[in-house]
Amino acid sequence: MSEDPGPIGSGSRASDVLVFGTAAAAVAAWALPSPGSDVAVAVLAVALITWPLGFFVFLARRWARIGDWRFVGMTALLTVTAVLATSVGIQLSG
Amino acid sequence: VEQIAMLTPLLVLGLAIVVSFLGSVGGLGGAVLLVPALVLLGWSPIEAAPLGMAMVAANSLAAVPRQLRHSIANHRIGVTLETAASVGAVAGALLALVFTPRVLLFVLGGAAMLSALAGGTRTGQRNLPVEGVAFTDVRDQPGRLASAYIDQTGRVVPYAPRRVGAGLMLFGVAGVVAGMTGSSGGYIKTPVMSEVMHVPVKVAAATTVFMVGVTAAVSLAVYASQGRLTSAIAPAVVGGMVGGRLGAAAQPRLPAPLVRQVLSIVLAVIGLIVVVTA
Repeated sequence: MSEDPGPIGSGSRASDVLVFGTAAAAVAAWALPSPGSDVAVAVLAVALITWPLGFFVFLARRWARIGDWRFVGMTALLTVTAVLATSVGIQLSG
Repeated sequence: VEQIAMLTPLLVLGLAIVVSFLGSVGGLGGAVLLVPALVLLGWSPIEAAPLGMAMVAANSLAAVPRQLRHSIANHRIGVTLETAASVGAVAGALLALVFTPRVLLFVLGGAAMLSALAGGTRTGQRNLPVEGVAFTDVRDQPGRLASAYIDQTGRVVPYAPRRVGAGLMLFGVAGVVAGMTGSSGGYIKTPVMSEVMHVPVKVAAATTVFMVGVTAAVSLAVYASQGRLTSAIAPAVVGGMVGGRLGAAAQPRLPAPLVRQVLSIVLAVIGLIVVVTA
């Protein structure tokens, strides 16, 4: 029997808030005139680009609580490779 | 002209909802469907690509709360395989400087159509429900990729991925393709998990939706550094979220063979698009 990693659905309320906030920023970016839409686009971009990092932290903490260090390490490795892929992409496009 | 300008965001919204719904059910990013559709409507590929990735990221983000509530996506599989895909994406970005992706696209278009054939003609289910097993006993096993999900009849379906090494290698290839073509590679990831690793198609689809969000975030960071993220992405984001939520809500209620059939049809269309546009 596996150890309980927390109730099913834990973290879903926080992610609901993030989804709602991102949707609100998208609607604002669509509906508002500049410069309001520029600010909304910036918020939207930050949300869409950084949410996986927040989710990695959530997963790593969840797995650390049950001592699943193999996947904590795997999450750290994925974070490093994702950041590396981003920087290589930016360097090449520059 | 003014009416057309007003209609364009609504058209993008409608397309993004449909594509994201299919993507969420079948486990695809959907940029490979949205971007060619926008190009056919007169957008340049340079303008259309950020909309495709913004829709994929929004679809992925919108699916997270429901995935956490229903425990369908296997995040251990996702994190493991996406690491290989990320390494492949770096290699693909570098290879794109040297090679043209045309030949690769032909191969991948063919592979997508073969996957469609394999998934569409396969009957029955590999992972069957098991009676008398508590979900909390078999899901989320520390240190292991094996897990379980609850099917549309409320029964527990345990599973254990096979051929993980081959899966890692093929995800590396999917990453190379994503890096070379600027797509999320979801149309390779779900069939690899489902047909090569024998992960249940619903789990594979939900896990891919999580993984393409990571790929899309990387691409969006690059587009942001180029100043290519404008308010034009907003309808694609709203459509991605609405379609993603609807698809994620529908998927747990659908029988696995139906999901596989939907995926096969979409894969056949994608294979055709990739070959024709290569």
